Amino acid sequence: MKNIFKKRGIAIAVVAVIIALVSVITLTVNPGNSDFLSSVQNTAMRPVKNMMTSLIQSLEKIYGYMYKYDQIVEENEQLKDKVAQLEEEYRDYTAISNENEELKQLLGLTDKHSDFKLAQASIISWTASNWSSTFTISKGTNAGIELNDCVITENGYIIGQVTKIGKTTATITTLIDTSSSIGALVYASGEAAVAEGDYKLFQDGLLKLAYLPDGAQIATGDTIITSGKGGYIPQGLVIGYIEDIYSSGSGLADYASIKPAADIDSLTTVYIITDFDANN
Amino acid sequence: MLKYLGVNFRSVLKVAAYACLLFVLYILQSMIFPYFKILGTKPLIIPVAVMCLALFEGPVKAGIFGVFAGIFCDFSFNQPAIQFTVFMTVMGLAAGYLFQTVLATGFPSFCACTAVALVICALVQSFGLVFYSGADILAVLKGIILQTGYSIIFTFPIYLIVKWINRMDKD
Repeated sequence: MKNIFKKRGIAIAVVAVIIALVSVITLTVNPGNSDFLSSVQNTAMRPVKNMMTSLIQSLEKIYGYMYKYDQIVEENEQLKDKVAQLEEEYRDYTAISNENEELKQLLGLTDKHSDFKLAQASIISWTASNWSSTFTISKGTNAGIELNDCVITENGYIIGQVTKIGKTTATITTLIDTSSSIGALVYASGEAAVAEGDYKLFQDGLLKLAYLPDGAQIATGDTIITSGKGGYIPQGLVIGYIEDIYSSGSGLADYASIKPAADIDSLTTVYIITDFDANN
Repeated sequence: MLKYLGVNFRSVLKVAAYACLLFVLYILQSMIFPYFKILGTKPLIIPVAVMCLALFEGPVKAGIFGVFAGIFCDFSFNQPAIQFTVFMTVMGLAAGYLFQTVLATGFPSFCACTAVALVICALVQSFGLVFYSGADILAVLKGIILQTGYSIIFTFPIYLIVKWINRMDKD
Protein backbone atom coordinates (compact mmCIF):
# COMPACT_ATOMS: atom_id res chain seq x y z
CA MET A 1 0.00 0.00 0.00
CA LYS A 2 2.82 2.27 0.91
CA ASN A 3 4.61 1.43 -2.33
CA ILE A 4 1.54 2.07 -4.45
CA PHE A 5 0.98 5.39 -2.76
CA LYS A 6 4.59 6.32 -3.12
CA LYS A 7 4.59 5.55 -6.86
CA ARG A 8 1.17 6.89 -7.65
CA GLY A 9 1.47 9.77 -5.26
CA ILE A 10 4.33 11.30 -7.23
CA ALA A 11 2.33 10.88 -10.46
CA ILE A 12 -0.67 12.59 -8.99
CA ALA A 13 1.42 15.51 -7.77
CA VAL A 14 2.97 15.89 -11.16
CA VAL A 15 -0.46 15.97 -12.83
CA ALA A 16 -1.59 18.63 -10.40
CA VAL A 17 1.42 20.79 -11.14
CA ILE A 18 0.87 20.42 -14.85
CA ILE A 19 -2.77 21.50 -14.55
CA ALA A 20 -1.76 24.55 -12.52
CA LEU A 21 0.92 25.45 -15.05
CA VAL A 22 -1.61 25.18 -17.88
CA SER A 23 -3.99 27.52 -16.02
CA VAL A 24 -1.19 30.03 -15.35
CA ILE A 25 -0.12 29.94 -18.98
CA THR A 26 -3.72 30.40 -20.16
CA LEU A 27 -4.23 33.34 -17.86
CA THR A 28 -0.95 34.90 -18.93
CA VAL A 29 -1.69 34.52 -22.62
CA ASN A 30 -5.39 35.66 -22.39
CA PRO A 31 -5.65 38.03 -19.49
CA GLY A 32 -9.21 38.82 -18.39
CA ASN A 33 -10.64 35.61 -19.77
CA SER A 34 -11.40 32.55 -17.72
CA ASP A 35 -8.91 29.83 -17.90
CA PHE A 36 -9.80 26.58 -19.63
CA LEU A 37 -10.70 24.59 -16.58
CA SER A 38 -12.86 27.35 -15.16
CA SER A 39 -14.70 27.58 -18.44
CA VAL A 40 -15.29 23.85 -18.54
CA GLN A 41 -16.39 23.85 -14.95
CA ASN A 42 -18.79 26.76 -15.50
CA THR A 43 -20.33 25.21 -18.56
CA ALA A 44 -20.79 21.84 -16.93
CA MET A 45 -22.12 23.21 -13.66
CA ARG A 46 -24.41 25.90 -15.07
CA PRO A 47 -27.58 23.79 -15.09
CA VAL A 48 -26.85 22.62 -11.58
CA LYS A 49 -26.13 26.17 -10.41
CA ASN A 50 -29.38 27.44 -12.00
CA MET A 51 -31.36 24.72 -10.30
CA MET A 52 -29.78 25.46 -6.92
CA THR A 53 -30.35 29.24 -7.28
CA SER A 54 -34.00 28.67 -8.10
CA LEU A 55 -34.37 26.33 -5.13
CA ILE A 56 -32.76 28.82 -2.76
CA GLN A 57 -35.02 31.64 -3.99
CA SER A 58 -38.11 29.47 -3.40
CA LEU A 59 -36.90 28.65 0.08
CA GLU A 60 -36.34 32.33 0.75
CA LYS A 61 -39.93 33.11 -0.29
CA ILE A 62 -41.29 30.41 1.98
CA TYR A 63 -39.13 31.73 4.77
CA GLY A 64 -40.44 35.23 4.14
CA TYR A 65 -44.04 33.98 4.07
CA MET A 66 -43.66 32.01 7.28
CA TYR A 67 -41.58 34.38 9.34
CA LYS A 68 -42.74 37.73 7.90
CA TYR A 69 -46.48 36.77 7.79
CA ASP A 70 -47.34 38.67 10.96
CA GLN A 71 -45.52 41.72 9.63
CA ILE A 72 -47.45 41.53 6.36
CA VAL A 73 -50.81 41.12 8.15
CA GLU A 74 -50.10 44.11 10.34
CA GLU A 75 -49.08 46.19 7.34
CA ASN A 76 -52.29 45.11 5.56
CA GLU A 77 -54.43 46.20 8.51
CA GLN A 78 -52.67 49.56 8.63
CA LEU A 79 -53.26 50.06 4.92
CA LYS A 80 -56.94 49.10 5.29
CA ASP A 81 -57.34 51.68 8.07
CA LYS A 82 -55.63 54.25 5.91
CA VAL A 83 -57.92 53.47 2.96
CA ALA A 84 -61.02 53.70 5.19
CA GLN A 85 -59.80 57.05 6.55
CA LEU A 86 -59.17 58.38 3.05
CA GLU A 87 -62.60 57.18 1.88
CA GLU A 88 -64.25 58.99 4.80
CA GLU A 89 -62.31 62.15 4.05
CA TYR A 90 -63.38 61.91 0.41
CA ARG A 91 -67.04 61.52 1.46
CA ASP A 92 -66.75 64.56 3.74
CA TYR A 93 -65.14 66.50 0.92
CA THR A 94 -67.93 65.56 -1.49
CA ALA A 95 -70.62 66.55 1.04
CA ILE A 96 -68.89 69.87 1.74
CA SER A 97 -68.44 70.50 -1.96
CA ASN A 98 -72.15 69.87 -2.63
CA GLU A 99 -73.15 72.08 0.29
CA ASN A 100 -70.85 74.79 -1.03
CA GLU A 101 -72.52 74.60 -4.42
CA GLU A 102 -75.99 74.83 -2.81
CA LEU A 103 -74.95 77.81 -0.72
CA LYS A 104 -73.57 79.55 -3.81
CA GLN A 105 -76.95 79.07 -5.50
CA LEU A 106 -78.71 80.30 -2.36
CA LEU A 107 -76.49 83.38 -2.28
CA GLY A 108 -77.58 84.15 -5.81
CA LEU A 109 -81.20 83.73 -4.74
CA THR A 110 -80.88 85.98 -1.68
CA ASP A 111 -79.11 88.62 -3.75
CA LYS A 112 -81.99 88.58 -6.19
CA HIS A 113 -84.68 88.46 -3.48
CA SER A 114 -83.20 90.34 -0.58
CA ASP A 115 -86.62 90.55 1.12
CA PHE A 116 -86.88 86.76 1.55
CA LYS A 117 -86.45 85.31 5.01
CA LEU A 118 -85.53 81.67 4.59
CA ALA A 119 -85.48 78.66 6.89
CA GLN A 120 -83.50 75.65 5.73
CA ALA A 121 -84.80 72.15 6.46
CA SER A 122 -84.04 68.55 5.53
CA ILE A 123 -86.58 66.11 4.19
CA ILE A 124 -87.05 63.33 6.75
CA SER A 125 -89.64 61.19 4.98
CA TRP A 126 -91.81 60.97 1.88
CA THR A 127 -95.42 59.81 1.84
CA ALA A 128 -95.94 56.11 1.15
CA SER A 129 -99.13 56.90 -0.77
CA ASN A 130 -99.31 56.59 -4.56
CA TRP A 131 -102.17 59.12 -4.68
CA SER A 132 -100.46 62.18 -3.25
CA SER A 133 -97.09 63.89 -3.27
CA THR A 134 -96.13 65.10 0.18
CA PHE A 135 -93.07 64.98 2.39
CA THR A 136 -92.15 65.82 5.96
CA ILE A 137 -89.36 68.23 6.90
CA SER A 138 -87.27 68.53 10.04
CA LYS A 139 -88.52 71.95 11.17
CA GLY A 140 -91.82 73.41 12.34
CA THR A 141 -93.23 76.40 14.20
CA ASN A 142 -90.13 76.51 16.38
CA ALA A 143 -88.21 77.68 13.31
CA GLY A 144 -90.77 80.35 12.44
CA ILE A 145 -92.52 78.28 9.76
CA GLU A 146 -96.25 78.80 9.33
CA LEU A 147 -99.07 77.11 7.45
CA ASN A 148 -99.17 77.90 3.70
CA ASP A 149 -95.56 79.09 3.64
CA CYS A 150 -93.93 78.62 0.26
CA VAL A 151 -91.15 76.03 -0.12
CA ILE A 152 -88.37 76.43 -2.71
CA THR A 153 -85.03 74.99 -3.78
CA GLU A 154 -81.72 76.88 -3.51
CA ASN A 155 -82.26 78.03 -7.11
CA GLY A 156 -85.59 79.64 -6.29
CA TYR A 157 -87.70 76.94 -7.97
CA ILE A 158 -90.96 76.43 -6.16
CA ILE A 159 -91.58 72.98 -4.69
CA GLY A 160 -94.86 73.39 -2.83
CA GLN A 161 -96.50 74.75 0.29
CA VAL A 162 -96.68 73.90 3.97
CA THR A 163 -100.01 72.13 4.52
CA LYS A 164 -99.52 70.74 8.02
CA ILE A 165 -97.42 72.17 10.80
CA GLY A 166 -96.13 70.95 14.12
CA LYS A 167 -93.59 72.29 16.56
CA THR A 168 -90.63 70.44 15.09
CA THR A 169 -91.92 69.05 11.81
CA ALA A 170 -94.05 70.19 8.90
CA THR A 171 -95.72 68.47 5.95
CA ILE A 172 -95.18 69.94 2.52
CA THR A 173 -97.57 69.27 -0.38
CA THR A 174 -95.71 69.52 -3.65
CA LEU A 175 -97.08 71.37 -6.64
CA ILE A 176 -97.78 68.16 -8.58
CA ASP A 177 -100.16 66.92 -5.87
CA THR A 178 -103.78 66.88 -7.04
CA SER A 179 -104.81 69.24 -4.22
CA SER A 180 -102.25 71.87 -5.22
CA SER A 181 -103.29 75.06 -7.00
CA ILE A 182 -101.03 78.10 -7.59
CA GLY A 183 -101.62 81.36 -9.46
CA ALA A 184 -99.29 81.39 -12.47
CA LEU A 185 -98.05 83.66 -15.23
CA VAL A 186 -96.59 82.74 -18.61
CA TYR A 187 -93.27 84.59 -18.38
CA ALA A 188 -92.99 85.44 -22.07
CA SER A 189 -96.50 86.82 -22.63
CA GLY A 190 -97.56 87.72 -19.09
CA GLU A 191 -100.82 85.79 -19.45
CA ALA A 192 -102.39 84.61 -16.21
CA ALA A 193 -103.44 81.03 -15.57
CA VAL A 194 -103.53 78.47 -12.74
CA ALA A 195 -100.91 75.76 -12.20
CA GLU A 196 -102.71 72.87 -10.53
CA GLY A 197 -102.19 69.18 -9.87
CA ASP A 198 -103.87 66.64 -12.15
CA TYR A 199 -103.79 62.90 -11.37
CA LYS A 200 -103.18 61.81 -14.96
CA LEU A 201 -100.20 64.18 -15.28
CA PHE A 202 -99.14 63.43 -11.67
CA GLN A 203 -98.21 59.89 -12.69
CA ASP A 204 -95.65 61.39 -15.12
CA GLY A 205 -94.39 63.93 -12.57
CA LEU A 206 -96.12 66.86 -14.35
CA LEU A 207 -98.77 69.43 -13.44
CA LYS A 208 -101.45 71.21 -15.40
CA LEU A 209 -101.59 74.80 -16.59
CA ALA A 210 -105.32 75.45 -16.66
CA TYR A 211 -107.75 78.37 -16.95
CA LEU A 212 -105.79 79.89 -19.80
CA PRO A 213 -107.42 82.99 -21.28
CA ASP A 214 -109.04 82.65 -24.71
CA GLY A 215 -106.48 82.96 -27.46
CA ALA A 216 -103.57 82.46 -25.09
CA GLN A 217 -100.25 82.49 -26.93
CA ILE A 218 -98.09 79.79 -25.39
CA ALA A 219 -95.42 77.52 -26.76
CA THR A 220 -93.56 74.42 -25.61
CA GLY A 221 -90.65 75.39 -23.40
CA ASP A 222 -92.24 78.62 -22.13
CA THR A 223 -91.33 79.43 -18.53
CA ILE A 224 -94.18 79.53 -16.03
CA ILE A 225 -93.71 81.66 -12.91
CA THR A 226 -95.81 82.38 -9.85
CA SER A 227 -98.18 85.33 -10.09
CA GLY A 228 -98.03 86.20 -6.39
CA LYS A 229 -101.83 86.35 -6.10
CA GLY A 230 -103.18 85.29 -2.74
CA GLY A 231 -100.30 86.69 -0.73
CA TYR A 232 -98.80 83.39 0.38
CA ILE A 233 -96.44 82.88 -2.54
CA PRO A 234 -94.07 85.58 -3.81
CA GLN A 235 -94.28 86.62 -7.44
CA GLY A 236 -91.64 85.53 -9.90
CA LEU A 237 -90.68 82.09 -8.59
CA VAL A 238 -90.18 79.59 -11.40
CA ILE A 239 -92.80 76.84 -11.42
CA GLY A 240 -91.58 75.00 -14.50
CA TYR A 241 -91.62 74.83 -18.28
CA ILE A 242 -94.42 73.95 -20.69
CA GLU A 243 -94.00 70.34 -21.77
CA ASP A 244 -97.04 69.86 -24.00
CA ILE A 245 -100.05 71.86 -25.16
CA TYR A 246 -103.51 70.32 -25.40
CA SER A 247 -105.91 72.03 -27.78
CA SER A 248 -109.65 71.88 -28.02
CA GLY A 249 -111.37 71.25 -31.34
CA SER A 250 -111.09 74.92 -32.35
CA GLY A 251 -107.28 74.77 -32.23
CA LEU A 252 -106.97 77.15 -29.29
CA ALA A 253 -104.88 76.03 -26.35
CA ASP A 254 -107.12 74.38 -23.77
CA TYR A 255 -104.54 73.53 -21.18
CA ALA A 256 -100.87 72.63 -21.03
CA SER A 257 -98.69 70.28 -19.03
CA ILE A 258 -95.82 71.76 -17.02
CA LYS A 259 -92.60 69.99 -16.14
CA PRO A 260 -91.57 71.31 -12.71
CA ALA A 261 -88.25 73.15 -12.67
CA ALA A 262 -87.39 71.52 -9.34
CA ASP A 263 -86.33 67.87 -9.50
CA ILE A 264 -88.81 66.76 -6.85
CA ASP A 265 -87.67 63.13 -6.63
CA SER A 266 -84.06 64.13 -5.84
CA LEU A 267 -84.74 66.69 -3.12
CA THR A 268 -82.92 66.39 0.21
CA THR A 269 -82.74 69.98 1.46
CA VAL A 270 -85.45 72.63 1.03
CA TYR A 271 -85.90 76.30 1.94
CA ILE A 272 -89.07 77.72 3.42
CA ILE A 273 -89.88 81.39 2.79
CA THR A 274 -91.03 82.43 6.27
CA ASP A 275 -91.41 86.08 5.33
CA PHE A 276 -91.22 88.28 2.24
CA ASP A 277 -92.29 91.69 1.01
CA ALA A 278 -95.48 91.16 -1.00
CA ASN A 279 -95.10 94.59 -2.59
CA ASN A 280 -91.63 93.84 -3.94
CA MET B 1 -95.43 35.73 37.89
CA LEU B 2 -97.06 35.51 34.48
CA LYS B 3 -98.47 32.08 35.35
CA TYR B 4 -99.80 33.52 38.60
CA LEU B 5 -101.57 36.23 36.63
CA GLY B 6 -102.94 33.56 34.31
CA VAL B 7 -100.95 34.83 31.34
CA ASN B 8 -99.32 32.37 29.00
CA PHE B 9 -95.71 33.39 28.28
CA ARG B 10 -95.92 32.05 24.74
CA SER B 11 -98.96 34.20 24.06
CA VAL B 12 -97.09 37.26 25.28
CA LEU B 13 -94.21 36.36 22.99
CA LYS B 14 -96.61 36.00 20.08
CA VAL B 15 -98.12 39.44 20.70
CA ALA B 16 -94.62 40.92 20.87
CA ALA B 17 -93.73 39.20 17.61
CA TYR B 18 -96.79 40.63 15.85
CA ALA B 19 -95.93 44.08 17.22
CA CYS B 20 -92.38 43.79 15.89
CA LEU B 21 -93.68 42.62 12.53
CA LEU B 22 -96.03 45.61 12.29
CA PHE B 23 -93.23 48.00 13.21
CA VAL B 24 -90.86 46.50 10.62
CA LEU B 25 -93.54 46.66 7.92
CA TYR B 26 -94.22 50.30 8.83
CA ILE B 27 -90.51 51.14 8.49
CA LEU B 28 -90.35 49.37 5.14
CA GLN B 29 -93.54 50.95 3.79
CA SER B 30 -92.89 54.52 4.94
CA MET B 31 -89.11 54.88 4.86
CA ILE B 32 -87.64 52.31 2.47
CA PHE B 33 -90.08 51.54 -0.32
CA PRO B 34 -90.79 55.21 -1.28
CA TYR B 35 -87.27 55.12 -2.72
CA PHE B 36 -87.83 51.87 -4.63
CA LYS B 37 -90.62 52.62 -7.03
CA ILE B 38 -91.64 50.43 -9.95
CA LEU B 39 -93.26 52.43 -12.77
CA GLY B 40 -93.58 55.30 -10.29
CA THR B 41 -95.54 53.14 -7.82
CA LYS B 42 -94.84 52.21 -4.19
CA PRO B 43 -96.14 49.00 -2.59
CA LEU B 44 -98.72 48.79 0.20
CA ILE B 45 -97.66 45.96 2.50
CA ILE B 46 -99.38 46.59 5.87
CA PRO B 47 -102.83 45.48 4.59
CA VAL B 48 -101.25 42.18 3.51
CA ALA B 49 -100.26 41.54 7.14
CA VAL B 50 -103.82 42.26 8.27
CA MET B 51 -105.16 39.69 5.79
CA CYS B 52 -102.61 37.14 7.03
CA LEU B 53 -103.76 37.62 10.59
CA ALA B 54 -107.37 37.32 9.49
CA LEU B 55 -106.50 33.95 7.94
CA PHE B 56 -104.52 32.52 10.85
CA GLU B 57 -105.92 34.25 13.94
CA GLY B 58 -109.56 34.91 13.17
CA PRO B 59 -111.70 38.04 13.08
CA VAL B 60 -111.22 39.44 16.60
CA LYS B 61 -107.43 39.37 16.65
CA ALA B 62 -107.27 40.55 13.04
CA GLY B 63 -109.57 43.43 13.94
CA ILE B 64 -107.37 44.46 16.89
CA PHE B 65 -104.28 44.19 14.71
CA GLY B 66 -106.15 46.18 12.04
CA VAL B 67 -106.62 49.12 14.45
CA PHE B 68 -102.89 49.50 14.96
CA ALA B 69 -102.04 48.65 11.37
CA GLY B 70 -104.48 51.30 10.18
CA ILE B 71 -102.93 53.92 12.49
CA PHE B 72 -99.47 53.14 11.14
CA CYS B 73 -100.79 53.21 7.59
CA ASP B 74 -102.33 56.66 8.11
CA PHE B 75 -99.03 57.90 9.58
CA SER B 76 -97.14 56.61 6.56
CA PHE B 77 -99.55 58.53 4.28
CA ASN B 78 -99.03 61.80 6.23
CA GLN B 79 -102.70 61.88 7.15
CA PRO B 80 -104.57 61.79 10.48
CA ALA B 81 -105.39 58.37 11.96
CA ILE B 82 -108.93 58.12 10.64
CA GLN B 83 -109.38 56.66 7.16
CA PHE B 84 -107.24 53.55 7.27
CA THR B 85 -107.63 53.08 11.03
CA VAL B 86 -111.33 52.44 10.51
CA PHE B 87 -110.95 50.68 7.19
CA MET B 88 -108.27 48.19 8.32
CA THR B 89 -110.25 47.33 11.45
CA VAL B 90 -113.31 46.55 9.35
CA MET B 91 -111.17 44.70 6.83
CA GLY B 92 -109.59 42.54 9.55
CA LEU B 93 -112.97 41.69 11.10
CA ALA B 94 -114.68 40.97 7.76
CA ALA B 95 -111.82 38.94 6.29
CA GLY B 96 -111.40 36.94 9.51
CA TYR B 97 -115.11 36.11 9.54
CA LEU B 98 -115.13 35.13 5.88
CA PHE B 99 -112.06 32.89 6.24
CA GLN B 100 -113.75 31.09 9.12
CA THR B 101 -117.04 30.60 7.29
CA VAL B 102 -117.14 30.63 3.51
CA LEU B 103 -113.65 31.14 2.09
CA ALA B 104 -111.06 28.44 1.54
CA THR B 105 -107.96 28.77 3.70
CA GLY B 106 -105.37 27.56 1.20
CA PHE B 107 -102.64 29.88 -0.08
CA PRO B 108 -104.12 30.47 -3.59
CA SER B 109 -107.46 31.45 -2.09
CA PHE B 110 -105.70 33.68 0.42
CA CYS B 111 -103.74 35.33 -2.40
CA ALA B 112 -106.89 36.06 -4.34
CA CYS B 113 -108.59 37.52 -1.25
CA THR B 114 -105.56 39.69 -0.51
CA ALA B 115 -105.59 41.00 -4.07
CA VAL B 116 -109.27 41.95 -3.66
CA ALA B 117 -108.46 43.63 -0.33
CA LEU B 118 -105.63 45.61 -1.94
CA VAL B 119 -107.92 46.75 -4.75
CA ILE B 120 -110.45 47.92 -2.15
CA CYS B 121 -107.63 49.78 -0.31
CA ALA B 122 -106.71 51.56 -3.54
CA LEU B 123 -110.36 52.42 -4.19
CA VAL B 124 -110.63 53.90 -0.68
CA GLN B 125 -107.49 55.98 -1.32
CA SER B 126 -108.67 57.18 -4.74
CA PHE B 127 -112.30 57.85 -3.75
CA GLY B 128 -111.73 61.57 -3.23
CA LEU B 129 -109.80 61.89 -6.48
CA VAL B 130 -112.57 60.34 -8.55
CA PHE B 131 -115.62 61.92 -6.94
CA TYR B 132 -114.30 65.30 -5.80
CA SER B 133 -111.34 66.13 -8.05
CA GLY B 134 -112.77 64.60 -11.22
CA ALA B 135 -109.62 62.62 -11.94
CA ASP B 136 -109.44 60.62 -15.18
CA ILE B 137 -110.95 57.17 -14.51
CA LEU B 138 -108.47 55.33 -16.73
CA ALA B 139 -105.54 56.95 -14.96
CA VAL B 140 -107.01 55.96 -11.60
CA LEU B 141 -107.54 52.36 -12.79
CA LYS B 142 -103.93 52.25 -13.98
CA GLY B 143 -102.82 53.44 -10.54
CA ILE B 144 -104.95 50.79 -8.81
CA ILE B 145 -103.57 47.97 -10.98
CA LEU B 146 -99.94 49.07 -10.52
CA GLN B 147 -100.27 49.45 -6.75
CA THR B 148 -102.03 46.10 -6.33
CA GLY B 149 -99.56 44.31 -8.60
CA TYR B 150 -96.51 45.64 -6.77
CA SER B 151 -98.00 44.94 -3.33
CA ILE B 152 -99.09 41.35 -4.09
CA ILE B 153 -95.41 40.37 -4.52
CA PHE B 154 -94.99 40.62 -0.75
CA THR B 155 -97.88 38.27 0.04
CA PHE B 156 -95.74 35.11 0.20
CA PRO B 157 -92.99 36.31 2.58
CA ILE B 158 -95.46 38.00 4.94
CA TYR B 159 -97.67 34.87 4.82
CA LEU B 160 -94.72 32.70 5.87
CA ILE B 161 -93.73 35.04 8.70
CA VAL B 162 -97.26 35.25 10.12
CA LYS B 163 -97.63 31.47 9.78
CA TRP B 164 -94.45 31.03 11.82
CA ILE B 165 -95.56 33.51 14.49
CA ASN B 166 -98.96 31.83 14.65
CA ARG B 167 -97.28 28.56 15.68
CA MET B 168 -95.48 30.16 18.62
CA ASP B 169 -98.09 29.30 21.21
CA LYS B 170 -98.85 25.87 19.80
CA ASP B 171 -97.11 22.68 20.96
